[in-house]
Amino acid sequence: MSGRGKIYCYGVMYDSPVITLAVDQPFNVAVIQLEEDPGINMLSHLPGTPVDQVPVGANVQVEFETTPATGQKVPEWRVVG
Amino acid sequence: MPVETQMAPDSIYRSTEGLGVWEHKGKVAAVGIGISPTARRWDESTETSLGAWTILAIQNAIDDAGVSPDQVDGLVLTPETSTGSPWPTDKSIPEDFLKTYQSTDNPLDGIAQLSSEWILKNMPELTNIKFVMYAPVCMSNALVVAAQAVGDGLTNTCLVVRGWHNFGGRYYVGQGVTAGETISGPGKWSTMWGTVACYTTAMVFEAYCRKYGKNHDMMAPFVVNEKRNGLLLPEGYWAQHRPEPLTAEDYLSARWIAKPANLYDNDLPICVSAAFIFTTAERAKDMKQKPVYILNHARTLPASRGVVPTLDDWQDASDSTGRKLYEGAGIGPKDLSFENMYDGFTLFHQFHLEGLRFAGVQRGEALDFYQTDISIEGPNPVSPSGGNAGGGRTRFWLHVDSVQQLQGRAGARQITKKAEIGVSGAFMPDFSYSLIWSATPD
Repeated sequence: MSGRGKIYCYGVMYDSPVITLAVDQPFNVAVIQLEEDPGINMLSHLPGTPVDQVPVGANVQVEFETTPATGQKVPEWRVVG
Repeated sequence: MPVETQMAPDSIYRSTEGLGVWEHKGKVAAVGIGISPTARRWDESTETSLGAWTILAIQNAIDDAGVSPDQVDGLVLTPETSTGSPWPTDKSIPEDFLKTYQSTDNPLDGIAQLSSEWILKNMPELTNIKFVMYAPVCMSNALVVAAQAVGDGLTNTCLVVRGWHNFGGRYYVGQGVTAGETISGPGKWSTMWGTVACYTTAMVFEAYCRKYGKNHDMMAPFVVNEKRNGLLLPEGYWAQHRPEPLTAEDYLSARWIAKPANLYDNDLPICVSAAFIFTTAERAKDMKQKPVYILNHARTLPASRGVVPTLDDWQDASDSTGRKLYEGAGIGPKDLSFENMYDGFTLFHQFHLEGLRFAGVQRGEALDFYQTDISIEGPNPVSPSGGNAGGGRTRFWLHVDSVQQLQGRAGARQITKKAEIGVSGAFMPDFSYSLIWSATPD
């Protein structure tokens, strides 16, 4: 996989059930369609994109963030070009 | 010898197009409804427990139909009862409940789930049950299964049952996988991003508005209409406990949950149980209530390959639901007197409505249609039950109302136009179980 995709649609979370994310509210959650197969999609917080200013249709590139709890790598997507 | 409980098999559903008219069209009827009282949360008294209220709902349905308990020979049940609040693992079960009811292997049976075994153990008057089937997730599923089972002759007089419990705490907030610092299992693809229950609907709604040039404000007439109808539903939570009208201004100023879904786009979890009695059209002639005939039923299963379904996924699926329902019933959109499709969450109701082409509404037109007269007095009654938004979270008010409308006993909610054929179904646009109901068998 190329690690590239497009933003399909998004929402803004104001009342997340996940306790550890409450301090970050409100935050974007976007649906990313993979370049190779738009039928497969993933979620992203879109790091670097201001809240509720999501450029739907924009190209994105995967990057991996390290989670504070376990150090595991988590896929996120950043708007490019 | 107890009757073995089966899971509903695939063969009992009508899931594909091209099946023709349903072989049991007009030969199965709903003849009784029983509803328990409602409450926001369980107060931990035995008499308001999930089990107690389910028994009460069953007794009410049997009385409503005018049958005796020993005439009931079938039970179709949705065993899940959760609204999103689990029983705390360190909390003991009230002693009085354990003394009052016979228990099963699961100590939470009758409190946080309902097994057929629990019901039959605690309702010894149901002496003639020969057919028992589980239909998971949704009352709509149970009604579909019961319709086919009666038509197939597997049961002649069948109870269809669904209960809901609601304990303390906020809906899913800080419970289960959302409580800790790590997430495993399927939630690592969705919950980990902090998604709330309505997020899928919110996102697909956002795509819908962008494609068709609509906006969230246009939902106000629908949500206000839902609450108005719900306050005319005496069985519902809001009518019983909080008879507060909702204005468009209330709706438009409500806080966001997952923008573009706000507080009133979500439903309120409650405690309540319901039961229906289905029987053959032949036997229904002799019963207390006017029979409501089932012209067809349909199931649609999700085909999405992603974490979130796309707009196309939901539109294709709900289009297929509409085609299946009409084909099997031998009717078209113009034959519907009203529609009672699911609304919990409000932002996906238009997918169901457009899939049915209700009142001739095409794709992308429903939010404009909401600006017209969609009231119970008007030419195109939309969701006369008030749905989950108007009555509390059950996924069964829609069916209760459909039957009552066609029996002419919907009271203050009775639609002004003649109620001849209606439709109700739940839950998601791409994962649904629906029925066409009629005042006459043909």
